[in-house]
Amino acid sequence: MDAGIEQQLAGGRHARAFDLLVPAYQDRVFRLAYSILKDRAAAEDAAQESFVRVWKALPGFDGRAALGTWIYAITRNTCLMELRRRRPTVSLDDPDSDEAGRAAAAIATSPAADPERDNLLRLLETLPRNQQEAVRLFYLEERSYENVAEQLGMPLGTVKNLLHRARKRLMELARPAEVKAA
Amino acid sequence: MNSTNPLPPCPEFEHDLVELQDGSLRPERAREVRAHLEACARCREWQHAWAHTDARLAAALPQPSLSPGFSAQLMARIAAERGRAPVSELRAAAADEYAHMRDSLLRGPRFGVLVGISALLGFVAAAVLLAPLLATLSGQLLGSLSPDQRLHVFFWCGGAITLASLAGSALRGALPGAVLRS
Repeated sequence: MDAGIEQQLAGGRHARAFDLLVPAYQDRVFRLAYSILKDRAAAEDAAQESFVRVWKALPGFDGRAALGTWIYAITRNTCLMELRRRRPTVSLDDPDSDEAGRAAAAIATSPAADPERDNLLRLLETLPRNQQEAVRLFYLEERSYENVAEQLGMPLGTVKNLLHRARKRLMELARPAEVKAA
Repeated sequence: MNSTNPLPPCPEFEHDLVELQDGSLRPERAREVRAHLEACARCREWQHAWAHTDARLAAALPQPSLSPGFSAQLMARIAAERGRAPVSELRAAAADEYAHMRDSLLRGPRFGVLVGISALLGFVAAAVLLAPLLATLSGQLLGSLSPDQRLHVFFWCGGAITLASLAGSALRGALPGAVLRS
């Protein structure tokens, strides 16, 4: 897939390369943005902004990193800037932040009649931010450790450990409530 | 840990049990883990709880997708960016234009001087060679004309020379709105 795009880039045909890379990457860029921003509209805006940045930076792409790695790094930076813009003074790793509280409140007040599901999503909001992102992306990417590692820019082993810790914690936290509900 | 949670699995199997659930375990190792599960009730119970949490998470997490108009909207933004040429492109275009102008300015006088010298030499040579003949012919011709006819001859000759000069200037691109060279 990337071979054709890189061939266009090597020939200096940046517009043609861009036309090829958008359909190839748009879904994964969107899913990565969603896993970070947790909001569909915001994720779509961030994906648009990321591709505009890719377009501007494409003539300077030197091929030292893989094209996907480079695009995902731009996407993550775009999303982190959006998070900083929203909350410039709050630590992004704070699971007890206002944002986590708002998300939990939104789940609690939503009309869905599935307390177990709501509880699980609420518990997910209590995990550290990098664990939340990894879990969301893992299920969006149909349980592919490799995709998650590439998109988050982390080694495969780190992603496996991150996901293991996160899901184990969720299992430990969710089980008592489930047993009580049953 | 809460008493409603299952006992932890055998430590050497914990990560493999998770990867077995995720479908990413190597086939030969998967066979070993399945064999262990048949023999170990503690690992079986833990794996059962894990599978339950995994299935609940997969069902609970939203699976958003890009809106159908994403690509069109992105390409409209990119078209706007293309219209707004970056400074580097403007600078390169200005440098090209300057080089072209300097080249044509240098080439124009050189060409003009060459044509002028050639024309002058040709004219002098023709005058030296043809002067006696022309003097005889023009004397006979003018002698046979009335004063009014002589005026007409001078007028038409002058007009023809002027038109020839203008055509020569237009060919060199020296007339506004009459540049014949691309």
